[in-house]
Amino acid sequence: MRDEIRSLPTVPGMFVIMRRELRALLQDRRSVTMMVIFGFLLPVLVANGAIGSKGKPSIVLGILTEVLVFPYIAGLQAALTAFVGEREHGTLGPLLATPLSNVSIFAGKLLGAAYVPSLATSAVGFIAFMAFLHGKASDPLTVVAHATLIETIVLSLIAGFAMVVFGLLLGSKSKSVRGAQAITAVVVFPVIFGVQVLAQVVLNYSAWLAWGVMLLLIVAIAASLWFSAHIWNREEALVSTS
Amino acid sequence: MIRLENLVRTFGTARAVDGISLDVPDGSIVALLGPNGAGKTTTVRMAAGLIGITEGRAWIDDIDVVEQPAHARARAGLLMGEANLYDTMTLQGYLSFFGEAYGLTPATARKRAGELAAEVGLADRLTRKIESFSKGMRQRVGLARALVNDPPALFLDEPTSGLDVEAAIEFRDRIKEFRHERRSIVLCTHVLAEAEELADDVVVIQRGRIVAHGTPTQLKRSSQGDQYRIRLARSLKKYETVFKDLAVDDIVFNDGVIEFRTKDPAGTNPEIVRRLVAAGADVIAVDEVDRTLQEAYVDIVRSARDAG
Repeated sequence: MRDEIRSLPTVPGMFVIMRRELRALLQDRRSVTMMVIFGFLLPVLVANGAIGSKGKPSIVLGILTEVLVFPYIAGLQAALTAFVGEREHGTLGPLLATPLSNVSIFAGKLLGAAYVPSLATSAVGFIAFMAFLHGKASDPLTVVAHATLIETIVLSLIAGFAMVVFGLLLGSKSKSVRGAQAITAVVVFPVIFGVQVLAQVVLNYSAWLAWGVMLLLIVAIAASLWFSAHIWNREEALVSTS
Repeated sequence: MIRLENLVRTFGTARAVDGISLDVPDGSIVALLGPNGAGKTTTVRMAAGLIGITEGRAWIDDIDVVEQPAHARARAGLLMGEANLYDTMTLQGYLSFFGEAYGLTPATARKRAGELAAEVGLADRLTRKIESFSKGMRQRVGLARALVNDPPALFLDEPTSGLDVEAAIEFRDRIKEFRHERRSIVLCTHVLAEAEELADDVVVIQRGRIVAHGTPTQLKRSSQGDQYRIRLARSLKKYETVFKDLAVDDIVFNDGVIEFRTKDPAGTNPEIVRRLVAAGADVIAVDEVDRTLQEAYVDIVRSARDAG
């Protein structure tokens, strides 16, 4: 048995953690409920509201950004549970005793608990939204230029990623999940509001301005990820669980 | 083999661990004793490669913990206090996950999970969720997890805390078996009887330093000498004169029973008996008083505290 034991490289190690996080998420009724709400109920409900707009592009785009970004709120909550919650319950200790690297654990948890399920829910929500409006007066494919639609989708995707990373950066220092969730409220609302404003900028003014903001966001996300991965370390996690 | 060489760990300006050196040969158990905050857990965490070492070096199975912490962790098993498990996972899922985290393939990890569940007596619970397990069962799961990588070195930090008597006995029996499996074990505990029963060597730590180190028998021998008890048929009025000019300490006389401490029992005890008989006492018995490890520990810790 001892001959088969080895320290996994970063990426395979990350996948081990990611798989566990995904399984845990799918076993958690609250998370599944949130995914159903954000991936199906919300898109259908807001699409129904968008029909009332009689095809106004600005309203359709605004609602589309909500459908695309809202799942990341659940993703952020899941990420905080994966980091702060595990620290709170002391379950991080045994994981940190394995040969997995800090980056494997951090990235695996971030992807498994937050990004992959959020992205999947967002994609399902988008499909549900488009399917519900297909052929109707507010069908985004007919009322909004395709380029604008693509720009809005990319913008929402980046904004969702930014929400999770910034929220995690702010909330991860908290000692309890409740505390972390309270702190992250300051991230969620500005991001949702900001993405709606940017969608209107793309629609009515310059797409280049929106692309500029997106570029800035990407840089900020990369910097926040690097910073989060470095400030998140074994010692701090262990001290918090002792 | 676990080897610690002059380990130091500082947190800010505080030295939590201050120059601890220790060898734990294969197949032996070393108990770390000490009051709360003495530096036991920090020592274990450094030794197991979980936290950084400020100064000094550590090796697990000849792997340098400072230079190769991940490889060192791969050779160590750790059970820190409560098992802290993922409650929503099944036992099989949980142990397989940790097997994979140690680099096993999913198929091997799954097989290993079955073996370990049988080893800790939970084979019939393999597909059950951990949330339904009792405290004793949870601790056994924690032990199974610590054994996933078949580690040559085991660090057990208060492994029986919170267990009922029967479960604690079972757990200790299992720890004894590890000795025959040639594992090196560091055991942190506040249960002195546990250390006395299990440990080949006992190390007492206070304020980050080793203040006593030896076998339980060696530690039980006080620096002030062994304790003896003489039982008389009836009380003696002036027992003080019997001990005059003899190298004895801590004399206690109570209802025909005299207790004292001496470093030279071969020379002193026969003389005391002679004097007692000369004084008209009827000596019924002379016994050596067995000190428990707990009594020795309290003496050691108090002496170290008084010495500053």
